[in-house]
Amino acid sequence: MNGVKRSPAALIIGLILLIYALILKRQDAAVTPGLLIDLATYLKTTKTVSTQVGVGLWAGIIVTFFGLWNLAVPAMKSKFDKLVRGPMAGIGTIILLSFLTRYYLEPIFKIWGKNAEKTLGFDFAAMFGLNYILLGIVIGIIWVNTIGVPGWMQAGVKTARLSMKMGVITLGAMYSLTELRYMGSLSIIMVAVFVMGTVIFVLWLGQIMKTPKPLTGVLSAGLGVCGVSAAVAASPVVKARGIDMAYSIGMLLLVGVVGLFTFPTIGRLVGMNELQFGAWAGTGILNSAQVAAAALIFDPKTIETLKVAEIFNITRILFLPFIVILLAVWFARGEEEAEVGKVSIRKVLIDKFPLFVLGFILMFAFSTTGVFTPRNYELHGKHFYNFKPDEKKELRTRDLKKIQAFIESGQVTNPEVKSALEKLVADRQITSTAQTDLVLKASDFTEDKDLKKIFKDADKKVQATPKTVKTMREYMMWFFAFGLIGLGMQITWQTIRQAGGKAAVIGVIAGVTKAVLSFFVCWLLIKGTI
Amino acid sequence: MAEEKATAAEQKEMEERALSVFASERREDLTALIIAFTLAILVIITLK
Amino acid sequence: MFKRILVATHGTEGAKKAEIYGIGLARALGAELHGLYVIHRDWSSLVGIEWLHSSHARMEFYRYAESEFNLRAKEVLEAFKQHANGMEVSTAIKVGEPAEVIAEEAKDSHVDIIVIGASSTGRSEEYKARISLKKLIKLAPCPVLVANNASTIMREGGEVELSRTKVLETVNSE
Repeated sequence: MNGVKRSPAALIIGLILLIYALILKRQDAAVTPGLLIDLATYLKTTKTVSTQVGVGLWAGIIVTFFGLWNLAVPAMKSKFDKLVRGPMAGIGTIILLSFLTRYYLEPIFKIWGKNAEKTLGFDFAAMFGLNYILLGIVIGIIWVNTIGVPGWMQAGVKTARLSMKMGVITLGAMYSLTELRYMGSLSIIMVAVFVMGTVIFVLWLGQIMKTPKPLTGVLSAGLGVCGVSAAVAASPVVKARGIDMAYSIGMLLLVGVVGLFTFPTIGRLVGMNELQFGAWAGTGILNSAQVAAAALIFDPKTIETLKVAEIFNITRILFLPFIVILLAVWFARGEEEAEVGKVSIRKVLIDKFPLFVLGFILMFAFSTTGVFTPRNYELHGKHFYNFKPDEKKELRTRDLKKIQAFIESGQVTNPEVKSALEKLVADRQITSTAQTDLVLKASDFTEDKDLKKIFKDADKKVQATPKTVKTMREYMMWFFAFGLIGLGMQITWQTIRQAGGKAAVIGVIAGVTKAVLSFFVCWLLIKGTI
Repeated sequence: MAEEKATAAEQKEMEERALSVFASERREDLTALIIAFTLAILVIITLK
Repeated sequence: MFKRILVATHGTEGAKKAEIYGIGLARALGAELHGLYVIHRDWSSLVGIEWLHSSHARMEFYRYAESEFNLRAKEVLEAFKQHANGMEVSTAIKVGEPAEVIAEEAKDSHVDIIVIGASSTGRSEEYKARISLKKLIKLAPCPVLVANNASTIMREGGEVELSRTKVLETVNSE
């Protein structure tokens, strides 16, 4: 829009980033630590200083460069200006915001939570998962609903979508075949049951409450499949009126936001594991962006929950075209106008299939060929291993003696396990994936907790994430953080306010039922880990 | 007549608004795909 | 005094009162009516958090929704015209922030007074778009009349007739 006139915004934001990074770098190198380093020490974020400097410098240089350009040359209507020069100021601001939440607010809340534990009896920061993702979204919501997003930021905020898509595509590289097969089949069953169940339930509710057919149609898609996105896809098909769209989308956003804030806390309270929570969030939370957000709020350190949740998310996206076709057929039934029913199935399937899902699949296929795995590294199960002999990977002599005694005790009846243990004692470390499995299996032959721990340690010591994967994971998290903060800036009260009428009643009934039912299914029926 | 003209102008204005909202995203998916893969390949080249 | 009256209408209960006052005033003074329907520009942010569709699918929705909102605007304005049967009525549909657009339209079409409805508490099946009174008064090039919750006017029969007397009274007493 107007983001690219002669605006100094990008230059100012870029310079702030640059100056911050430079001061931090200087203080980090100095003998006497400066204020920022003191603060980092207090907040226990000293380990992140190099990342902060790196990201800050690069982002600062790029944003400043375009800032100078924006100031010097007024924007034309060219594509480049619209796509690259326009959004820079907004992009820089969101990066600044994620710096603020990730390296300052989250640590502060962590400390406050610990301090309040004595009086409150619980650590509120840990309980509510006040990490940078949640805080970023909250700041985004507060920002847009108080001062509003200024014109110069708007183009940048819109790149949040792009960022989310890049995050999901990159995530494709993080799965192993076994994981994907297991999660995929689980998600297909869960999503099929809950999507169909909710769609039918809402259609039935609509009939009972006598809501107009278009409204019922939009609601069933939104509540059943993937929130606002599904409502967008279904609206033209069921000929929704303006008010139907406003009612449904307002309500979907409201239920989604409530879910986003409650799911992680409940999951933590009942002690769900990654698989259970990922499946629950992936089924029960309405909007697809909020699924990713909830998974990261629940577990921002590893990406296991995100991996599960995102598979569920993608399964839902793949279900969307079919539900749209189904709704078209349902809507056409009993309608006099013949043209209503004329929905080309092929057109819907092609139109509604998002290319980025294909990107996700491609990236997964790409990674299974092993291109991301450097020499000496092996992907086995869901972990990477490096068996190259190394002193750090060796077990302590004390532990080795214990294993030796265990072998001699004759408790190990399986000859394969026995030889694997013997080899372990001889090499002082595990040397192959097959041996890893056998050593872990040795735990079955003993009740001794120390021994079990030694076997686990032996396995852990040869696990190593290659730098390639580490880097990808790091920038992927930036993509998600950026995208989620940007999307948080689009959660407006003006939209939520539209919720009303019978749509609100149906929405709350169906939304809560789905969340509660899927909670029990995930909590009680999904056992074990991936 | 005047009113009809006004509606036509209005329509055009709306069209332009629609374009300004969405034009930058015309090939959003493709852009995401290209950037994600470029980064992945860069990672392979520099770190593997 | 008032030759041209702008009535901002929206189909809601509050806006219907504005219509009644506007029509009554116009009839009493022999003024022209100009009906304005503002589509709140924020409706396009309804789909704000949507991120997974291809731009093509989103564009399709945008076009569809736009035509739907336009259709509704036309309906409301048509009803307004019917209401003011026999009088000279021009209409306009605009997109934007309500207060800004109303003030701008008042300037462009040279009206002498703006009539708007007070925010109603009752539920209306319309897109909720509040007019910021503070902003409107600051920007408006002419006086602004707010039709408040004089609900008696609405309930009793012969809406327009009754309101006309009421409006006349208010005008005369000024």
